[in-house]
Amino acid sequence: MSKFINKIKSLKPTKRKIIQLYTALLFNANIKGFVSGSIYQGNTKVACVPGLNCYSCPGAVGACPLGSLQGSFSADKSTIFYVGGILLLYGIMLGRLICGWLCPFGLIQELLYKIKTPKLKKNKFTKILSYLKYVILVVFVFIIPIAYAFRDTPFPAFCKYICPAGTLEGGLSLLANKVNDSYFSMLGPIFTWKFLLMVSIIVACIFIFRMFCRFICPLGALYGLFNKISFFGVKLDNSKCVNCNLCINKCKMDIGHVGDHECISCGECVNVCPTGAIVWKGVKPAKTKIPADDINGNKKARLVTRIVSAVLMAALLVGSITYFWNDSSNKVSYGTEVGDMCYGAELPIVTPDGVSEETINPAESGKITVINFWGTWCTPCVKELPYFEQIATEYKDDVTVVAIHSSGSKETSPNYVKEYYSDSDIIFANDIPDETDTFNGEYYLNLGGSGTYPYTVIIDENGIIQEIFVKALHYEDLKAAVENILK
Amino acid sequence: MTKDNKIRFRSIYKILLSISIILAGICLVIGCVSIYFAGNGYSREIVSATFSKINIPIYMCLGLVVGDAVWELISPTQKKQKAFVKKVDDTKVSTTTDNKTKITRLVILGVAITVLILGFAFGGYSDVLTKAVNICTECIGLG
Repeated sequence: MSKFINKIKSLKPTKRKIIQLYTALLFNANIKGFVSGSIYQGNTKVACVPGLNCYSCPGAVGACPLGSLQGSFSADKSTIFYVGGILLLYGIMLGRLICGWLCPFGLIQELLYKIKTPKLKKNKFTKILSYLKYVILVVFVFIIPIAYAFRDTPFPAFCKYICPAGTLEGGLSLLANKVNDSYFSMLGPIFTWKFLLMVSIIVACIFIFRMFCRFICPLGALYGLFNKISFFGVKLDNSKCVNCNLCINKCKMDIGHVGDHECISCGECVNVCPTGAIVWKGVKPAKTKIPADDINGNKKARLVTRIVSAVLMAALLVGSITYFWNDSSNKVSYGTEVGDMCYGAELPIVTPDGVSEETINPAESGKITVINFWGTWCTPCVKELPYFEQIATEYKDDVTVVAIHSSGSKETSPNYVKEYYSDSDIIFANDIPDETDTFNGEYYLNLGGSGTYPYTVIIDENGIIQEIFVKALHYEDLKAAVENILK
Repeated sequence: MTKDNKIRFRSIYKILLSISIILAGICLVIGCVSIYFAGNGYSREIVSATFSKINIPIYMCLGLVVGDAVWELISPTQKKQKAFVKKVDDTKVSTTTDNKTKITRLVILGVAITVLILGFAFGGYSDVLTKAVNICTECIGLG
């Protein structure tokens, strides 16, 4: 019996693993999103989580710092300050300790590495390859998004072409829910590329420790720049170091020395060091000698601290999950389908001079109406608008094209229309806030929108919905749809 | 359980695990190839049909692989390595950081907080919220 109890006692996970699991759950506390197949739209997404966690994951309750950074270059300057400030703060406080303790994708990689297979150990080649993430950081996170920012087009190049967290946490999670069956029509070459890349990274992580963190992750590259000066993490006390290199041999990352830009502060080297030269920054060293009459008191105090901490952490997690489950910001689509009567509402028209007092009801135009929901912040939306303009011009007599900007950020639409579509045949309008004033708008939600942009609905002269597109459209797609209805 | 039985059980378990890993790998390859060749007209039926060919025993193998990984995750770490322990004088605890590093940290911290407050005060958070509350179809490979 005592053997069994000792066995059970020995199955304690380490502090780091507990914290990794805890933060992964906390950052994805919107369990309802997995059930309903939609993402959280509440205000907690103003805050960026420290690790790599795609904000299109149904469970995500915060924003991704990398996605926000790429998007900030084409947004207002204040956004760059806001996101830059957050990243600087995380970096200077924690450095790559975030990678080792707080990143959900790091946890997934460590879990995969536990699968029993032959492992590829670090060597000179992996050391050189570890600099690839800096190239990815510069090219995909800075150069490409900034280049597109000059064209007023947000373009998250790393998210679009590389990030496996988005494909795994966002794409597959959403596609797995039957509610999102229409998203299958959006799959194409990009999804094939990203899916294959994600699978390759996942398989590689089984054989190579934290393959993505070491060679690809630009967020880790960014945080690594702060490692030496961060407030928390591990550091080497040179006065005690005897250069036995036990720490470097033990470490599975490509470190040159403890605490450098590759170190994720996992703490495994701390136990290995024979001279106690590796210490935690920002943490008071433990007393090596406790007075004999104080031992019991000290034990009790530690036990009480642990219990209180555990209770508080559990309460926070349970409280978060409960809060997000009951939050009305979890919007679900109203389920509009082809054949339904189009919902009607008076929407304010946007002109190059601003938002006018005139309104338009897209359901009562009396012609075939192409209703496109877009946003200045949405890259695919902005890219497809010229095709809508072509259709509006070509089929002027038979078709009305109405482009409705999301209720959130609608103040950006007049300037955009003035700059790029001042003489367009498209009728621009702004959506109206719904009862809870969520981002999307009442008309978007009533026409079946569930958070994806762009979203296009085509109705006939009688106001009956003929086509619904949950993807970006090319000229040929629009032309074919319009011709079909005209026949 | 006798020692011989334990060893026998472990070796059978290792063989089963190896087979599971190989089968899981084959499933992934089949999945990737079928999605690649399915073309643009993906539908739930095509994907489901592909994966319905994978029978229950293979799902069980996948479960075994994942279960093993989770078991490893919650297992205790290796025992402390017994290394040469050099006698160190406890009074010489030199964990103080040099002044230059301290000043750099504080300056960067100050800049970070200032920039963050400025960004927040001028409404920079709204763009972050805009991107975060809508499904970024590009980020997840759709569209």
